Amino acid sequence: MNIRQVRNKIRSVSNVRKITKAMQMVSAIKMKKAQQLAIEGQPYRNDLERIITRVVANLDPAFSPLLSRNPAAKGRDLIIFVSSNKGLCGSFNFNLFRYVVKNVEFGKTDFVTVGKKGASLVGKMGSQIIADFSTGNSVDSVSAIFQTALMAFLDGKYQQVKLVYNRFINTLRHEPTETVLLPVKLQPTEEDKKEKEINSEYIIEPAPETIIDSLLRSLIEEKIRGAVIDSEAAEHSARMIAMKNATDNAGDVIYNLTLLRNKIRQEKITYELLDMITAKESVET
Amino acid sequence: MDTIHLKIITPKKVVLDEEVKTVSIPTFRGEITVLPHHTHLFALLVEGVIKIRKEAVEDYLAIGGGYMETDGRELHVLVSRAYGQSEIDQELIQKSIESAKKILSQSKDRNERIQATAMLRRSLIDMKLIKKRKAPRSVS
Repeated sequence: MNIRQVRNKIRSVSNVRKITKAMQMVSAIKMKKAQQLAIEGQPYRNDLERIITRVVANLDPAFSPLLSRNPAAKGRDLIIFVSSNKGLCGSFNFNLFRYVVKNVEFGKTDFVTVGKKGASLVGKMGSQIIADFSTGNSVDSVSAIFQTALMAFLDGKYQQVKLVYNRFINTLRHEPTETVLLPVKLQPTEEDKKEKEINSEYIIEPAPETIIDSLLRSLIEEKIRGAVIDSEAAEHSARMIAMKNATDNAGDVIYNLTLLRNKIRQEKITYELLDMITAKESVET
Repeated sequence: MDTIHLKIITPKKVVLDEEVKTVSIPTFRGEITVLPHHTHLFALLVEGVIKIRKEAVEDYLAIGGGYMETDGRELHVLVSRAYGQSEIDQELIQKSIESAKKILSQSKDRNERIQATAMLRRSLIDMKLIKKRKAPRSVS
């Protein structure tokens, strides 16, 4: 490599570094917002689930069609698949896709997708997408996603509705998660079981039969909303980390290239000196 | 003195998390007051004003619809929104009441009317909340 090529290379790498640095900053701000939303919304969703579990524990599942499988359902499943619209976010989509490819039978499953990357994967695997919510603000389209899934389930098209997304753990970690949304299955915790034995009297106002349906609906919708928010927080975190790594790597590359440039320049100078000295000596003798 | 642990949670954040003496909540069947050692209860809430009483201080919060659950020691209130008197502005509410009324008197579009009714209801609750502030805050 000659010195001009090295100089060009250094310039282009430092431009790349500027870009990745800018993307890192943007992601860091988005990440903060998304993480805050994810963390502060957590208590509401947990509490809602806990309360509903208690209420449902005292009830006959026949009260709501959401609690049991639709007898007319064939052997198909529906998956709500939450991924990202954009790339450049490290292993975020890759890990999720690997999980899906490993665990999902594409022949028996239809999809509702949130995120273009996921939609294109499903398309490649040859499954049917019954609805795609990639455009627009994904948090705003939660009720639409929920309605679509609920209608399909109540019509008896699917025996299960599942949710697959990246669960946000912390900035450095997120993991692909799969939860069954419909039919709703609630596991009472140990504590609740004990409490039930001690005190079986639990007043529910108005009558549980009348509210259980709407309760379960709001629970499922809240779960989908939680997944979308979590996925967004994980996406921005993953992108921030990926861009930070890219910036660091660009720095390393620039460092090495600068060393190389100096070495080449020094070599050139040495050769020129040698030339001059040999010329001078040959003239003198 | 006995207290009950009150938690008010909205989808966005935990609004309140503290020990209180009594809480009055608007439910589906009318306002109820929850005291410590209340029996196990789950109830549907409607939009309205929550009254919270600590030692000698009363506090009010406007809430959207939601649920409440208590076991006598803890009281969990899950609502779509909740805010205190310091977070609302009387002028803005007055304006939104007027614009809602205007929409209701003019518009024939069904969706618009439903939205305006909801807005009006919310604003009226907020007004109620503001009026509460004028009542003496400490009760001996």
